[in-house]
Amino acid sequence: MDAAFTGFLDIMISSAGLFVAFYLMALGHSIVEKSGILNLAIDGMFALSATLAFFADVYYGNDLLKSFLLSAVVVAFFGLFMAFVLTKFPVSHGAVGLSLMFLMYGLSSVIGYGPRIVQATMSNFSPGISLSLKERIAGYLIMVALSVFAYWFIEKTKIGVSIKASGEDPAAAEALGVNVLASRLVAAAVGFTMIGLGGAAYMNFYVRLWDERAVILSGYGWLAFSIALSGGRHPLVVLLTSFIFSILVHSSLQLVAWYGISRELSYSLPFIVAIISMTIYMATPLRRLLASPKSLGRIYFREERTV
Amino acid sequence: MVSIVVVRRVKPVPYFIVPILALLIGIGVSIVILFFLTGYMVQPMDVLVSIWIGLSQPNVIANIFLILTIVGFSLAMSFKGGIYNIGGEGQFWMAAWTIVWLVFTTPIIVSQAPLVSKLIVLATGFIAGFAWGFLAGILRGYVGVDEVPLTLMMNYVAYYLIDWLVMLPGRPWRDIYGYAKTRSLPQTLQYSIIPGTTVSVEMILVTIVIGVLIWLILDFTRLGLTIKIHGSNVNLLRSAGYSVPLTAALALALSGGFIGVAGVVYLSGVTPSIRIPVETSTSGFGYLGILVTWLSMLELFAVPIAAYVVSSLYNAGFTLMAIKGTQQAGVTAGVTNVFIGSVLLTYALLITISEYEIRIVW
Repeated sequence: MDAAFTGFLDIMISSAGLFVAFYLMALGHSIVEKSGILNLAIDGMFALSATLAFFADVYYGNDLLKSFLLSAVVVAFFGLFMAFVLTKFPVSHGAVGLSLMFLMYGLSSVIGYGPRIVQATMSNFSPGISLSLKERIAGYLIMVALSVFAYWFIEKTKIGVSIKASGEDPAAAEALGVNVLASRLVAAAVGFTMIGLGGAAYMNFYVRLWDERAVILSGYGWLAFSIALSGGRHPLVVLLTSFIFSILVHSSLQLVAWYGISRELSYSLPFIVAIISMTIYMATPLRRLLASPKSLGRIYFREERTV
Repeated sequence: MVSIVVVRRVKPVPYFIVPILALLIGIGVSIVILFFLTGYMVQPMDVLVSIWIGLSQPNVIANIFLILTIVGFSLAMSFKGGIYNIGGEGQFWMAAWTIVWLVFTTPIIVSQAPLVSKLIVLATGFIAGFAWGFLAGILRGYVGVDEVPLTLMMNYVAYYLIDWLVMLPGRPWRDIYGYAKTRSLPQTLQYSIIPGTTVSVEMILVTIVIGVLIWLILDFTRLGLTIKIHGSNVNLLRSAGYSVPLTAALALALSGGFIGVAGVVYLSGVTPSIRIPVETSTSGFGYLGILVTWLSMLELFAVPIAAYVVSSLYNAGFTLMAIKGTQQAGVTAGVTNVFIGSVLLTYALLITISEYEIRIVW
C-alpha cells in the first residue's frame, strides 16, 4: 500500500509540468467556450504555442519570460481574430476553428524546423527548465489558486456574468445591455492567453524537445478539449479532470513497464479515456449539472448593424 | 467612425465565385506566410511554380486526385447530413489495415480469380470503414457526443492501434526483413498502373462507381433524403417519424464505408504496404478530403474539380521541398497544411459574401 502510494506520489510530482499545461489550456478553452465561441482550433493553438516557446527558448537562450510571452501574445492574437469574425459575421464556428487548426499545424511545422536545426548545433542545450520538487508542488498550488480565481472571475464579476450571458443567449444579453462583442473579446483575450501559456508550459516544463510527433501530432490540444468538456467547463471540476488526464498521459508509458503492454497501445489510452469521458458526460446527469452554454457554436448575427 | 454594415443580398453571388476567390486569396496568404517565415527563402515564384507543376501535369497527381475524389464524395455524404466527419483518417487506415489482416490471414482470398479477390477486398474495406464510422455514429446519434472531437480522437486511436497491430511479433503480415511496415499486398491484389501515369484502370473505375453510388443514394433513395433533411431540419425528420439518431449514425457510417474503399484503393494502387508510425507516414487524405468537400460546396459534380486543385496544392508542398530543400529553407511536408489552412480559412470567411454584402462605411 505504502509502495503504491509512494509510486502515485512520484507520478504526481513528475507529471506536475503536464498538469500545469493541461489545466491552463483546458481552463482557457473553458472561458472561451463559456462566451459561446466553439473553439475547434485548440489543437492547432497548442501546437503553435509550444512551437513558439521552443523558438524563443532557442533564440533567446531559454529566457522563459520571452518564451511564455511570445506564445501567449501570438495565440491571443489569433483568438481575438477568431472571436471578432465569429461574432461580427455569420460565419461557421466549426469551419473557422478547423481551418485555423490546419493553418497552425502548418505554421508550427515551418516555424519549428529552423530552431531545431540551430538547437542541434548548441551543446548541452534543452529548451525550458527542469523543475525542482518545490517548483512542482508550487505548480499544483498555483493552479489551485488560479482555479478559485477563475471561478470568482466567471461567477462573481460583471464581466464574467456578461461572458456567460453571451454564451447562453447573446440576443437576449444584448437586449439587456450586454456588449456581446466586447464580452467575447475579453473571453478570447483571457482564454487564448491561457492556452498560449499552457502550450509554452508543455514545452518549457514537460516535454522539453521539439519534433512534429511530440508537438504537432501529439493531439494534446484535443485532450485539453475533452478535459474541459468532461469537466463541464467549470474551473474547479476542470482542475480534477486535468489532474486525472495528466496522471494518465504521464503514466501511460509506465504501463509499458508495469504491465508489459505495448508502447503504441499506451499512447492510445488517453484518447480512449477522453472518448469515454465525453460519452459519460453526455450520457449522465452531468450533462445537465454542468451544461454546455446553450448558444455554443451557434452563429450569432443580426443584419444591418454597425461596429 | 468606421462602420461595418452586413446586409443580406437580394440575389446570392454565383456559387462558384467563392471557392475560386478562396483559392486565389488562400494561395496569396500562403505565399506571404512562407516568404516571411522562411526568412525570404521561399519566393512567391517558387510557390506558384510548385502549384503550376501539379496543375499542368495531371499524370503526376492523378493517383492523389482519384483518392481525394473518393474521400471528397464520401465526406459530402455526411456533410450533407450536417454530420462533420473529421475521422476520415481513421476510417481510411482502419480499412487499409483490415485488408492487410484479411489477406495475410485468409490466403483463400488471394487464390480466387483476381477480379473476385479485388472485389472481396473492396467490400471488406467498405465494411471496415463503415464499422469504424458507425462506432462514432452511434455515440453521435444516440448519446449526443460532438462528432468533431470524437472522430478526431478516434483517428489517434486508429493510428496507435495499427502501429501496435503491425508490429505484433510472429504475425504473417510482418515485413520479412523486420522493417516497420507490413508485407506488400500480393501481386494479384495490386492494380496495374497505366504506363506513363500514376493510376490504374481499377482506380478510375472505383472512383466513378463510388461517385455514382453516392449520387444515387443521396438523390434517389429514402435514406439519402433523410440524410439531407437531417442536415437542414432535424425537427422535420423527427416529426415525419424517422429516427434522427439512426440517420446520423448511418450518415457517418456510410461516409466511413466509402472512405474505407479509398483506403483499399490506396493500398492496392499506390502503396502496397502500411508503414508505421502511421501518424507520421500518412498522407492525410482524410483531412485533405475536408478541404475538397468544402471547396466543392457539397456539390458532387464539383468534387473532382476541387480534388484536382487540392491535389495540386498537396503536390506543391512536396515540389517546394524538392526545389528549396528541407535543410535550406526549412520547408517540410507541413507546408501542405499552410496551403490547406489558408484556403480553408479564406473559404470559411468568404462564404459569407455569397449571401451577405459587407460594406465598410467611413
